[in-house]
Amino acid sequence: MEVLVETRNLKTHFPILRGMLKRPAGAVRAVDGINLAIQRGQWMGLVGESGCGKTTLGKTILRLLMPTSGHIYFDVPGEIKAEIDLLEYSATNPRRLQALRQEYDLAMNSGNKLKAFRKKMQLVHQDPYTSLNPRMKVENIVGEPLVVHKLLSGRQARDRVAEILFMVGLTDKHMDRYPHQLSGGQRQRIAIARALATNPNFIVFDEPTSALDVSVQAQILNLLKQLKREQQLTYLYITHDLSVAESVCDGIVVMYLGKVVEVGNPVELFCVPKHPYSQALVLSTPIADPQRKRGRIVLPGEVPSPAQPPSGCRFHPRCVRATEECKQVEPVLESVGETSLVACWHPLN
Amino acid sequence: MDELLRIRGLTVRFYTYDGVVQALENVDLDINQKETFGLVGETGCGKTLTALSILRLIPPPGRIECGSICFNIDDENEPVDLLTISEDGIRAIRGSKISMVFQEPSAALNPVYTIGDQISEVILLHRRQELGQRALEAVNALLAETPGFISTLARPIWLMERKLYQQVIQAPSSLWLTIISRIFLVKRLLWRLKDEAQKITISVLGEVEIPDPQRLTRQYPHQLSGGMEQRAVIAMALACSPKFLIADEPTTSLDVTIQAQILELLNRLKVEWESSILYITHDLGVAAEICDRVGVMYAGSLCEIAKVDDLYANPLHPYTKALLAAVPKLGEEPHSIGGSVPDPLEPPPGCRFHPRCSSAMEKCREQVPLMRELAPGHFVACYMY
Repeated sequence: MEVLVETRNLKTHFPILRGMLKRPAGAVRAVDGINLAIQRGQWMGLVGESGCGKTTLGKTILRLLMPTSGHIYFDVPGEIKAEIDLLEYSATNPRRLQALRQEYDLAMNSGNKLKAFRKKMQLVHQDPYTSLNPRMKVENIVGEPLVVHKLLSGRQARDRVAEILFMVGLTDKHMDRYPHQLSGGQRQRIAIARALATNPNFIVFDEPTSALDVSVQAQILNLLKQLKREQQLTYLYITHDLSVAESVCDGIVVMYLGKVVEVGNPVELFCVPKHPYSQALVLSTPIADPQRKRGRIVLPGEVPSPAQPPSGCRFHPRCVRATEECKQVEPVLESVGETSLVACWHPLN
Repeated sequence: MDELLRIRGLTVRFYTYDGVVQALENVDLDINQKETFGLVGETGCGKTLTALSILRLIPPPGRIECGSICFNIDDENEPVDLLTISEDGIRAIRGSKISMVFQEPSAALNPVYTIGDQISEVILLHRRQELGQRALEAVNALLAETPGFISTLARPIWLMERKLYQQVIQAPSSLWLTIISRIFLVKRLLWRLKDEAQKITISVLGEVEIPDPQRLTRQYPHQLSGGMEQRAVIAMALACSPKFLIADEPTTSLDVTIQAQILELLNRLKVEWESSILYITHDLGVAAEICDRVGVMYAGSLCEIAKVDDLYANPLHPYTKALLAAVPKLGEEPHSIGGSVPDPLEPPPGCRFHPRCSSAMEKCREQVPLMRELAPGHFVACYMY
């Protein structure tokens, strides 16, 4: 399988400015060294609690936020990534490194070059009640990307909008409506249609169904499944709801406090979680079956502040298996079994 | 089991400029002592309105058209109809006998008061007699124990305090006391009431597993995390040890790990305080974890009520079946329900679910099906059975 999107040691820190001179006094480490590879055609789930940096990671990959350091590759051949890594490690040819990064690394791009990339990667926001401009008609909302990227105009643009609306299960009679005339599910369909307007390869969904009811959520998930098949799309699906990730994704990344703690396929992750945090997440997700009341693990305490993350493994203050080693040395993501990666000194199972 | 609350024929309408919204239509519901009853359904189906009607808090232009809500205050007295008792009567019940935990904890708390002030307000309002008793004991202890010089100076003040607290115990809401406590220096003499309320607040906060409750009483809502805020709101609801707690989606805005903590807490408190809970949620998974019995609502009326195991193992109403099929599960395609929720201004005639129902019959389009008990404790409103 070919890797479409990859991040290497990606960091996004938000400086905390203090005092009259607004000097930086520390930083919120929202995303702190993330290696992530999404294959072409994959539906990758990104789960974690609020404040763990899921959305920041999604937005950084799309370069809506400027990363502090690290690389973002979008559809770059493996040899070039390897060459950049080698040059960076050996530090022999800084000019060549600079040139390569300018050419291929999204973290270094800006201006028109970035705009060309934006056509291929899109974002669907969380809340369809706030992500759509209430003063714009559906036609203009969905057609705006076409105007911005100078793809189509006039009659052609209108036809294209009708075509996309049909793809997401709406009709051209919705074109002249305003967002307030639509239901939550229909609005989310509009947001998806807008993301599809430029024929992207890669779409980031930031909790697209958390504001919707279960029956509407099922409609949207089925729509996404169908679109992915028809348009050969690749998804990064950010969610806090494990049961959604479990039912639709091909691969799942679990994040905790700016770090990836476990990567794996859904069946394995949910049946035999390896990281204690993933296990706690899986066991505290309620299941609609009273017979299957599982031994719930109630994690003590709350997520610490990402401005002062704990030393060593970031999960150690809430972990029952923590030892002296966990408090001092940070575990790295290592492969366990065939498909899973886990960052833990004492993995389960 | 004994009944705690009995709702019969509850109908709520909203009179808007666009027309009459039939928000609740003939809701019948029983809640037993010491049970957790779950009310599930989609947005706008009337779950929250049912809860607000119990406390008579329906905002205008809404109006409770007809029905009765009988509530067993205690075993000795006859049940009262919450919809017909006086405004003072319902005020005495709100917050003391029946209390409510709202959905968004940050919106339920007042941002300009400390947590301690907000919780002790409830206690000062509903447990005045008990506070007076505690304050009197404190003064009596001072009078008896403090020796010597300080005692001779402070004794007259303590005696005055004692007089006042005796009044508080005898008639906590008498006119004389209300007037007297407005006077500047006399008001100061009643400070022990607040002090005792603060002490109760701290013990209640400890009850909901808040670390360092002493410090929390001095903090403002914005200084707390979502989970802590929700604990504080639960503590406020439990401050008067109510017999009946209404929890309106208390964990919707929280993370799963925090949600697990709150559910555990509610379960423990229910057993310890021997109260009943009406748990409103849209999440069928949460309902399965916490509830004893579950009622499913659709477009303003109840369509199925059953014990939790019965409902999930053997759902009868087509809407319940569809709702359960829409829940995402491992390796299964989620099934969506065709169509959308009907417009509450013009609900379909007959059964409100018939336009989306795959097994709708001619009869469903014309007549509203009534609740029938098919198996013991399993009620369904559908013509299929």
